[in-house]
Amino acid sequence: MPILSTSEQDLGSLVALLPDGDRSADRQEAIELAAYLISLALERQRLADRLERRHELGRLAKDLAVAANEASTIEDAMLTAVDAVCSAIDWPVGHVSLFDAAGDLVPTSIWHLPDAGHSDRLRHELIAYVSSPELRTRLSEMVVQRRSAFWLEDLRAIGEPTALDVSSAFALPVMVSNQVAAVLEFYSDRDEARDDELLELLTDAGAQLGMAIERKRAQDELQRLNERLEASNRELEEFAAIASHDLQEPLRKILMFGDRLEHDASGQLSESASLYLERMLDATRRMRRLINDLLAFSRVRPSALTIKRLDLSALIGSVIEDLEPQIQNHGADVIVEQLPEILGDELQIRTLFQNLIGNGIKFHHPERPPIVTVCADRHPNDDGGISVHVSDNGIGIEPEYFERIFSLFERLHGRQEFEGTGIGLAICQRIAEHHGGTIRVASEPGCGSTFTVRLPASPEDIGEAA
Amino acid sequence: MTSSPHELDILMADDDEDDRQFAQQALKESRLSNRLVFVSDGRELLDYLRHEGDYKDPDSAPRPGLILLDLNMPRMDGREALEQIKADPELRRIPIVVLTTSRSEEDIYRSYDLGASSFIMKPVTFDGLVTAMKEIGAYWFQLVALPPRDFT
Repeated sequence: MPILSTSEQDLGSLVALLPDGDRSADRQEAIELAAYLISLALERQRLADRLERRHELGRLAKDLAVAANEASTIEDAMLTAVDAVCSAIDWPVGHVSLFDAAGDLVPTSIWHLPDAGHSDRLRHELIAYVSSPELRTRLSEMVVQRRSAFWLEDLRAIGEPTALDVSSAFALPVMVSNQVAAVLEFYSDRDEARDDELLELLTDAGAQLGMAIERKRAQDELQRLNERLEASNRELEEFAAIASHDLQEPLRKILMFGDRLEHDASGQLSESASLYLERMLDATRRMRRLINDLLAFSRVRPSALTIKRLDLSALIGSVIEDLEPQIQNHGADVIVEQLPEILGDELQIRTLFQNLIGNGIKFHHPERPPIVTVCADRHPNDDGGISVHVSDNGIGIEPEYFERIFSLFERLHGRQEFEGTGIGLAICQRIAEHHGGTIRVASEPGCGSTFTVRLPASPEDIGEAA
Repeated sequence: MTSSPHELDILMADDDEDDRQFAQQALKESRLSNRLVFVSDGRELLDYLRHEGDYKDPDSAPRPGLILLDLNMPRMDGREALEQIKADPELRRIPIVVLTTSRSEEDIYRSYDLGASSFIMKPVTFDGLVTAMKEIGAYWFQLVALPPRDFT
């Protein structure tokens, strides 16, 4: 009596020994029913086994994903993966090989070995075994050819025999950037049937592991670049400190001695000599200002940012107090409209508006006293960002200079007309950029200019910019 | 016997020969009667104050009423000298005015944290230096009551 599954698959046969030779229809039916019940039980057991295996493989898939994503180094991720596979399918040995720069598949020291007391000897023999040129060549060829998990057959023909007496093996290539970067190898001393379900699952796991490695390498690269950037920033800061002391020192001496010369020897110098001395000292003072301004510019660093919530009205109010001498001098009027709170570094935002409002007063039109207006609005696309506008009724700027005015030491006027080194707007732009924002100008020559600073809403944007 | 403030020395620690000369001339012009003595680095400053090294004879190095301290000096810089003087119970009461070309905020914070009495950036004109000397003298030797000390 055949025992058939529900899908008519032959599961075995039921042989009934009937001593009384009763071949009645009832007997026949009873035997068929028995065969059917047995088939149900068998099928149930098979389903239970398959379900159990599915569970195991599911757990393995999860373990491998965790290994891929949580390991701190690539080696850790591979070791955890090898351990997870070995314990999930109960295989004694796992090992990792890597492709080296020359394109050879080289064994590593990453092993999973059975707990047996002879594991030192075993490891020794296994190293010899997996390093054998035959196995290397075969593994290497198949890995490049298959690019997915595969069963290694006919192993007895390969390499030296070991204490493990390898009978079965399979390999899992780990793909990074579409290239095989590593191979996880598994060996058993039992004759294991090829398991396609397992191979499929491992191919997926290999892909995940590869992506994790890729991510990890990108992270490492990013961290390396970051460290280099930080080192170069530090160097720049050190340079600024050295420049501040070492360049200013001789300059201060020139000024001091020149000053003494001007006072002590003024009667003895001819008119032209006095004039030369005066011009020399003027140039020295200008150089001093340039160095100081350059240092002020270099000190506007992202690393020095302390971002907090700022009441822009209060901040602009105190900027205006500081500018009081200029305001009085030029009979200026500074009008401040309702201003919102913003996120930023207090010192830098202060410097930004001090420069902008100061410029509005400084570059005033000869025929009218300066009027500077500060107002703000939210970005029209409602990303929560804010634009602050500083407008004046001054001399204005020709459109062709709209970009150039933000460059370092860029000046549009003679020193006799307007003093300064041309550092202010370069600093403004740097501050705006460090806050993840921008600065733009709109102007009508002869009528006035409007500088607009756009600042993002969230500190994350500021952090990214920094 | 207690000495009058006008007889107290000003001790200037500065490695720059020109600056020492400027200070001497500015002091003369400011009509302060105090004597200005010089050391050229932090190490020498501590030797002077502790009567060690070249200053074993206490008469060669009377306790100054005020120290003018440069920050950037060879061997031992002003920051370290400041720290050591302020950690020394014998010396900590001597007021120290930092007089430096440094304009870094960090140096300013740090000098005050270490116990400096004032922080002055070196003036860039001689007139500025004379004014600074006058005001330092007027403040420390006329207005302020310095810690009383017995001289034997």
